[in-house]
Amino acid sequence: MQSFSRTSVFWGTSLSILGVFAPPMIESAKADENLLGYTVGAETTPKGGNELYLWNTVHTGKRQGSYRADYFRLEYERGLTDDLSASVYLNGYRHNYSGSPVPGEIEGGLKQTKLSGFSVEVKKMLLSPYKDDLGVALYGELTYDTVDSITGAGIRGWEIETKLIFQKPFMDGQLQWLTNIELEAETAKDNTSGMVESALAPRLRSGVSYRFAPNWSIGAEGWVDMEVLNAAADPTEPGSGGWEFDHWDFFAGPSIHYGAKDWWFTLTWAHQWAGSSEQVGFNNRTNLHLADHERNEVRLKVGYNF
Amino acid sequence: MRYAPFILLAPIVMPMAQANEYFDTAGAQRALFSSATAFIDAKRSLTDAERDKIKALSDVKQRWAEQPVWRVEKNGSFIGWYIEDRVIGKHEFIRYAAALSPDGHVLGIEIMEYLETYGDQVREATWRSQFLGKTLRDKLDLGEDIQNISGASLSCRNITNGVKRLLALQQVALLPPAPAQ
Repeated sequence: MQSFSRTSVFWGTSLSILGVFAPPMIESAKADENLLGYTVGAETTPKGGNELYLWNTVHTGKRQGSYRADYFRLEYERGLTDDLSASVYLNGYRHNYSGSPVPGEIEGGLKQTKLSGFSVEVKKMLLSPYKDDLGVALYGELTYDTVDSITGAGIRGWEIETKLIFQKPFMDGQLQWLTNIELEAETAKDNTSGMVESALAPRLRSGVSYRFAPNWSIGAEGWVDMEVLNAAADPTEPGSGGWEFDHWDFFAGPSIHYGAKDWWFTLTWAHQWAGSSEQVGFNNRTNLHLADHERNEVRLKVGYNF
Repeated sequence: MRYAPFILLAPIVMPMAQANEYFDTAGAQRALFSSATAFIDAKRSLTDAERDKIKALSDVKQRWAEQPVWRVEKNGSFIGWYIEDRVIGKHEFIRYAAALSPDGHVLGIEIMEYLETYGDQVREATWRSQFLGKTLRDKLDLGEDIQNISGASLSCRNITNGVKRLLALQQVALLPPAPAQ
């Protein structure tokens, strides 16, 4: 499960906000960077530094039919101290699917774009990767969502994501190893059925990034995550359900990163190489989990500072 | 792939071309050795053994086999070495120059080119002056001997390590000229 709905004005809102800030950025934009698309580094934006990020993650490939979901995020981050930063996000989704992509879980078809909600995040660097050799940081993010990220259905959902981040530089920083240990807790109530579903999802991400030319880095990252689900709160069936293992999956793929003084982008493709069946007794000939995840994800992040 | 929204933003985020070269060789030489009367090209080709020894002395890898070096004289007297070097920054190489005394003390450094997001303070005299008088015997630890600049830790670390490496290079590969008869 991963979830959560509103009007289709995400890009309008995002671009309007950008429009307000764009002129000063052209004058004084600077850049920070995410070397990989998913696994983050330990450094924080220094005190007084401002960063703006745009994310789009395209999810494609379910069990059958046609499926595509775009996850949009607009993030503003500010360095509060030299080792503490905070961010706010606007989140939105675009869904375009047909042919009941996962029978029993994602039926029929849908075409919609909706602003879903917001997130707030704090990140605290405990050790610097360059001063202390091994960078260590703590990260916490709280999200409110109104659109189910997978089905596009209307919900009311809250999610807390925590990360323990490690970053180890090698070769004077030309090669970077990044690892995140994550725990996600979420709960969502379906607007139509009233069903409440909660989940816990531990995840381990790891990757490397190598700068092969000035400004350009290539990388590879992978992650294993699993989910424990509690679907007990079906108002029509008191006492039903309970916590139970839902699924696991493994993704990995390459990325390319460009970072200049003023801006950067990272493009990552991640493929699901293995995963558990989405239904008990289902003949999962592909050995993939395709209810909560897809076969492929492509993420583009663009960031700049001002 | 429908990345049109991002593509529309490209003109906004594309940076203006910026020149961040603060010194050319002649300018850095004048800044570091204002009283010099001659800079004699003494570019040094290092053997593998010399590079290994530099690594052993400084604990920093000597990436280049060729190091741009000038012997500096004032009215015919040898007064020090002018060495140009580059180290890895977060995005690009940082070019800098170091002035070393004949007996292995840092006389000064100048940042010639700096293209990083944060850390322009490395060009300021207060930061650079922390290297004055340092020798190979000094630890030159970032955060202790040399102050770190938040958001530019990689730059600070690699410049600091670069100076340490040049002090080792002087000891390994730069012989002072024989005294005049």
